[in-house]
Amino acid sequence: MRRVAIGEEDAVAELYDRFSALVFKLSLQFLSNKAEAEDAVQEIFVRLWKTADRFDPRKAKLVTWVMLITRRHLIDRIRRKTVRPKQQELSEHHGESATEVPFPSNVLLHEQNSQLWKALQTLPEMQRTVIERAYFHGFTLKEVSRQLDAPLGTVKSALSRGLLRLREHGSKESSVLRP
Amino acid sequence: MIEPTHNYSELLELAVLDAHGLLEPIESELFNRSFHDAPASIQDEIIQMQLEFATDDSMLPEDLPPASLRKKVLDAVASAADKEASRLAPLALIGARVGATAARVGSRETIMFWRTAAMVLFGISVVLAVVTMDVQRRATDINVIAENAAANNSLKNLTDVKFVEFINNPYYQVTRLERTQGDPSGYIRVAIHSDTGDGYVFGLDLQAGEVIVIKGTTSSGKAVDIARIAAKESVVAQSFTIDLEDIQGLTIWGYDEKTGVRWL
Repeated sequence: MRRVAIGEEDAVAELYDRFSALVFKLSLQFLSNKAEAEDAVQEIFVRLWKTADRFDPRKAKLVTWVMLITRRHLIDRIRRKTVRPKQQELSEHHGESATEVPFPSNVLLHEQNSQLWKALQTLPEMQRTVIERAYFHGFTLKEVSRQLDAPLGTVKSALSRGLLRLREHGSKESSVLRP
Repeated sequence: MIEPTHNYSELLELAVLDAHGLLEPIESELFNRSFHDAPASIQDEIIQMQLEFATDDSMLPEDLPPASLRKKVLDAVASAADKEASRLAPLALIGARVGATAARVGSRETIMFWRTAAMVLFGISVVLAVVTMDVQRRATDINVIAENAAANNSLKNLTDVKFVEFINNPYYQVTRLERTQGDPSGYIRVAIHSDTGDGYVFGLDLQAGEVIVIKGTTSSGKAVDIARIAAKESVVAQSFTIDLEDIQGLTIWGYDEKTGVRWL
């Protein structure tokens, strides 16, 4: 990463070759549009270059850091470009239940994310709601807390547990599919 | 400052959110501090758990990036590096993109020579920029302001004496920060002298009313308050001093006090 930080082209190319598939897939999951995902991948690698000198190998593996930067960028991109429903609109459209939410943009409806959609349906309502709002709508945890009129700690716990369960669900699915 | 006294379950909870990029800057900072304070076994557990999240592609689409994207990405990085170099004029050459060939053949002496030259040229460009601003703001005689001594005095008035030393000193470690979202114009440069701990925060083209908190995280996870700058004018500058023991491996970042937007 030190070589990436000083802009060595070979190092940037190596970084791309190692992680582009993961970065592209995650971008596609968030954006559900190949053209947008390609734009995002370019921006993400520029951001990786800009922040390369901050990678601390004692705190995380390189792939963890790359995916963290990727996720942060995609969430920032959603926050920047998506017109998100306001709290009042959420309530008006969804009656009395503050935990009912519309689909976050078209992300979960996209056929490429059908597996994610199915997995989300297996989660308790609170966990599903906070994941959709925080992860795919790009709301901050404080905003989600206000929207649901739930303590911030509760939102964090539900989000964390939901993400853990999603990963467990994914592990089971992939172990079934693998020979 | 809130003490990062997270227990085991809270730490794991935050680790999940951190791995997904869902922590706000201040929470991320507290998590980092708790991580560094945690026993090695828990650190290993967190590293492993975050690794599993990072590499889990079971829920991701199966599409692969098109072959043409590789060149676009490399061009985008090269373009960003060139843009960085041209925007910052000579100062940007410090730590800016170096071609693979140049990186291999460049000697330490050559690099130091160019860094010194870059700093001197940057000093000249900053002095000229401040002179220009001074002319516009005060509508005074340009012939007087254009003199170096007057320019330096203007600069000292805008900032303080140390800033003139800063722009003429090639031994400062410089970190550039930009907004991670919103208007891409404007940036902050944080310079720290590794031998003295003296430093400078220099903000250019910040948005009116913006208040940016600059912080640092040492290699041991300790949080360091560096500066808090309020954008009252298009150029803002502020000096600071940090402990020498905190400089090595220091990661510098910032956030907008009002909106929470990160500066990286």
